[in-house]
Amino acid sequence: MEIEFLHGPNLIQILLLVFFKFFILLIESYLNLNNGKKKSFNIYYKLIFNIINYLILSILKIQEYIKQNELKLYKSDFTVNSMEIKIALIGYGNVGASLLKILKEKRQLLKNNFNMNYKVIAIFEYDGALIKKDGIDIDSLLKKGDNYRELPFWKDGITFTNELISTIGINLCIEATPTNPDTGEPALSHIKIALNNGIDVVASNKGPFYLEYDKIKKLAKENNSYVNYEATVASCVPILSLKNNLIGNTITQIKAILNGTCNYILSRMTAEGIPFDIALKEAQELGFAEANPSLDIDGWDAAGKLVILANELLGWSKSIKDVDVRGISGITPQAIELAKSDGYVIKHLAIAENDKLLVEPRLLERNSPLNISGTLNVIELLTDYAGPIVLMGRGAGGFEAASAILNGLIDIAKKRGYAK
Amino acid sequence: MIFLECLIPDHPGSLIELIKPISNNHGNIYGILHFHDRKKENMIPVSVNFEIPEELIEASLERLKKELTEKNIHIEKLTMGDKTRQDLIVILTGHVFDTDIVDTIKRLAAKNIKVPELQAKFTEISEISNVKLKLVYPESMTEHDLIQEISSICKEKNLFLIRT
Ligand SMILES: NC(=O)c1ccc[n+]([C@@H]2O[C@H](COP(=O)([O-])OP(=O)(O)OC[C@H]3O[C@@H](n4cnc5c(N)ncnc54)[C@H](OP(=O)(O)O)[C@@H]3O)[C@@H](O)[C@H]2O)c1
Repeated sequence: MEIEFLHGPNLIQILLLVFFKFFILLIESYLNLNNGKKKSFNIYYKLIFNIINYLILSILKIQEYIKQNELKLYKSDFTVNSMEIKIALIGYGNVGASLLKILKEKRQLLKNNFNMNYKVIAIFEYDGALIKKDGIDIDSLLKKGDNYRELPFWKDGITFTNELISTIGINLCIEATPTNPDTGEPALSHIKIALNNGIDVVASNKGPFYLEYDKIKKLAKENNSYVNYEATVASCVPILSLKNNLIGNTITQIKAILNGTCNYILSRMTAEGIPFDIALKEAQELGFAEANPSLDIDGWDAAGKLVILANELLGWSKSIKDVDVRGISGITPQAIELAKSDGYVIKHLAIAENDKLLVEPRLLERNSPLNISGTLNVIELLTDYAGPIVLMGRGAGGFEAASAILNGLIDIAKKRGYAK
Repeated sequence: MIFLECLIPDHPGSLIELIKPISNNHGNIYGILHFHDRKKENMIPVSVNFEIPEELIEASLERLKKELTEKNIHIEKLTMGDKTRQDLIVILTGHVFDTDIVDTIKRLAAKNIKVPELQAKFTEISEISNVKLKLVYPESMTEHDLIQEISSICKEKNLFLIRT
């Protein structure tokens, strides 16, 4: 009864009630006084008891009122300070620099739309780091171009270690170093260090995730940290987060084109009838293929991405060792011609079905939604109720990957209450 | 697809007696299997898979049953399925001819995988060639089994396989 009361009327109502009750009791006792001495003793006792009772209630209510207002004050104070995301960027290359440009361009938008403030506290390169506790001015950094090591807060030989990060006060780490396909390093260690220290991670580096997906997820959970790796698969195409919008469906199969280099080469061979070697050379000249293209053309890049897709969307626990991989270098223009004569094209598909992961050239019907040209990526998910769902987009490029990182960053900021 | 199982006498010409009425009644035959191991009293079980155009099925089957009975061919079973044989297209690249394409087709046929269509592209017979095969396989066989078969031949003959 009292508890209900406590949560019911406000402070003024309680005080009014106390005085009203007091007034009634006074009248009651006055009337009773005239009716005999014995009764009046009980009435006085009752009166005192009630006054004490209501006084206690009033004090409790006042305390609660003060407490609530204190909390509000504290909260607003906390909000002002803690809304700031303090970022460490590891890897200031194509993706890293693109991200800083987007962050700079969107600073006002992030503030207006999400009430989100950020500071880039540290930028790590392979040979040292830029560290500024009150935030690096992105504008002047970008103006420095490749000469950023001349900035006064550049520190030679500094790396992303446990000891260091506890002193620089960051709460989010962006991992954008190159992938070592066999070890996942240095990214794997960076991610583990961040998570172990309760720091959230947004990564574009797929190596750690196709090698140690389960371990990373577990570590994040143990440390109450968030880890976002949307940029690792098909760059800006939001395929991993699509899962949240398909929770009523079961995804049963994935078919995808996940490597822009292979798709470019095959598109050129199909359109021009040129041999593989010439198409590869052309891709290299245009910057679509690496000087050493083996990871792409042998299918390992797509295999890594397929592992992440299958683990995330199908709930599997695979690693890159579980993928059957065949590349595209054995495809001839004549084979492409033969395929064409039956209404097919040859595409390098990444497939997850029946507990199996495959990356291999396949004959695809010309009118299939997966038949895309150039460096694009496409993913088709087969679901039990919604049927096939296809997402297509640019699977590479600094800004594309950076935009996916920014999405991840905003998502984590929202979960943490740093953004609205 | 229509499955016909019947018993025919084990003497020359009796298979023709079975096939003729099928083709006369618009049947397009996909496969014939003789079960010599199940021969009984000089009668051999034979199974024929064929297709008849949708609009002609009813009348054609009636006529077929009548004609076979007249020829004293005993029908054991006559059933219809939507897809008794499925097909898959593959392209083989490598020394497909040098590694004996006839042997490849025979080995597939031994597993009841038919090759009704074949198309090739090559510059010289000794050079790398590209051969497209249409593979038709029975319903009893899974696509996975079919791929296993053709993959193992390709592995052995060092041929690059691309499939639908
Ligand atoms: N570019 C894309 O389109 C794209 C799309 C999606 C995902 N990704 C992934 O994102 C990551 C970054 O890609 P990117 O294109 O930005 O590569 P990048 O241009 O090569 O940049 C990587 C940067 O990391 C630096 N770095 C190397 N080792 C380091 C270390 N131990 N500590 C700190 N920094 C180190 C590199 O320095 P040096 O160059 O001086 O060695 C370089 O500045 C890769 O894992 C890539 O697979 C890229």
